[in-house]
Amino acid sequence: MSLVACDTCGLVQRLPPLAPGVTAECVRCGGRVARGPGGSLARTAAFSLAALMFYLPANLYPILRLEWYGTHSESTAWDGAIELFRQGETMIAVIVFLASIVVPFLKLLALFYLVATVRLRSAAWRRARARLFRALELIGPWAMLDVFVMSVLVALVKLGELATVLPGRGLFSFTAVAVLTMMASVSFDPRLIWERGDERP
Amino acid sequence: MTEAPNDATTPDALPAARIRRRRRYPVYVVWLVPLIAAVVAGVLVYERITEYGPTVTIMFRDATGLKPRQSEVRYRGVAVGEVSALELSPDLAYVVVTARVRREAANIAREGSVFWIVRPEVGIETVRGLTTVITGPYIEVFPGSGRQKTEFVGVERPSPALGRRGLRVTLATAHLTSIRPRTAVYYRGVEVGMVSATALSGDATAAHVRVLIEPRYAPPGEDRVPFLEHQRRGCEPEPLQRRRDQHRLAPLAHRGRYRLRHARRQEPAGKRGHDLRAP
Repeated sequence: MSLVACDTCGLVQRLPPLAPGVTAECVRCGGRVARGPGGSLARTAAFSLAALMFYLPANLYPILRLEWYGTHSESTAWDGAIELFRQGETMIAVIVFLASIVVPFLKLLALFYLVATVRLRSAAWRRARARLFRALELIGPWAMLDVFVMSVLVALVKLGELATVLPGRGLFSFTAVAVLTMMASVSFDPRLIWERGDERP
Repeated sequence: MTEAPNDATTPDALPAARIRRRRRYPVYVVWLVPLIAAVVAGVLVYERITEYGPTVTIMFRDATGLKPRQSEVRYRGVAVGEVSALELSPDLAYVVVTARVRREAANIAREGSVFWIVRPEVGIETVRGLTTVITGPYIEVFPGSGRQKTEFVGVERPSPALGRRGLRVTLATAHLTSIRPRTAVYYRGVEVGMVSATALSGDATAAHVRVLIEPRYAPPGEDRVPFLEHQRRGCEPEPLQRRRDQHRLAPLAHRGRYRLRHARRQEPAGKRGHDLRAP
């Protein structure tokens, strides 16, 4: 028997040992206070793996296709960053490069690292790992930056025959990466980091 | 901050969290997600890798307006490839255009394929390639029928007879006035063909006019063949030159018209289809 405080209303309550596939809800507000063992880790790993699968097509395919006066140009995230850099927009090029290529990959690496260490019941670097997970949650919404910008662009730039922006297949893959990564980080239960540890009796 | 309603000090006095059975499916079901993702992503990557087939190089004298990754290679108006690079030949005499050909159209790159650049062109009778004023030039291709090949020499401007069937005859005359490629050929006032090329004969003693007669006016197997004869308004016809195929032509009126009349075919069947392509 252990004690938990509800994330939502703060009520401290007793938590009986949970069987797999069972969740515990706050008696007062109904918010979820704990999940039974199993599932969380598998879900995180599965969603991360699925996101990793889409990472390759996301960077191979053009994100957008711009049709302008009958000509067209297609660019992948990489092309976009390079092009911006050539035009002297170094800052924006770096942001695009980081937000579209580096950060999604680092997020996936971090998730795999968290899953692996929990799985191995590692007791090392626990505070650092907890901080890593909090950082992951913090940058979560930024992963959708490309998707947001593109949806706005596609909706705005519709000048009939003159200019059109069409989403490319890369955008679909990018969305898949972003959504699956989010699902993975939501599935991860940070309490697992501290489970069966020395610090907790 | 905490306004816990119970002032209990021992854990046992605290309320117990409500237990709820949630999961409707076993844990391993979640592994279907990466499995499906692997299939979808695999298909996407495979399609991307196999999207473009062979890479061809085409040499042009001038590549004004072509842009890598933007200019298309088209056949019959359909994009079949994309220019991927432009560079000068080592001796600076040509531009070497590298183009990626789409896999499904890989057959356009063959021995005998003709490549040319479509640009806006303003002539007396027609204006062509007008859309390229806005879109920029593109490369048009007419596939040959030989073996697969990857290195080509582009032509300045294709023969108007390229890819068109019909009776091809060569006419010889002493002097050309206004006849140019695409000059129409008339029979009884009906347009039945056109001049596809004009050139000097090998020994420079005559001017050769290559004419393409539309297939329906020159049905194969029929042993009648158009006979071309000059009619110049107010002038006597000049002496006609005879060539091996016995078709006669006199240099033509300023309007560039021919009149046809039927005569016995004397050209052997194998003589048809002069190769009009530029080297």
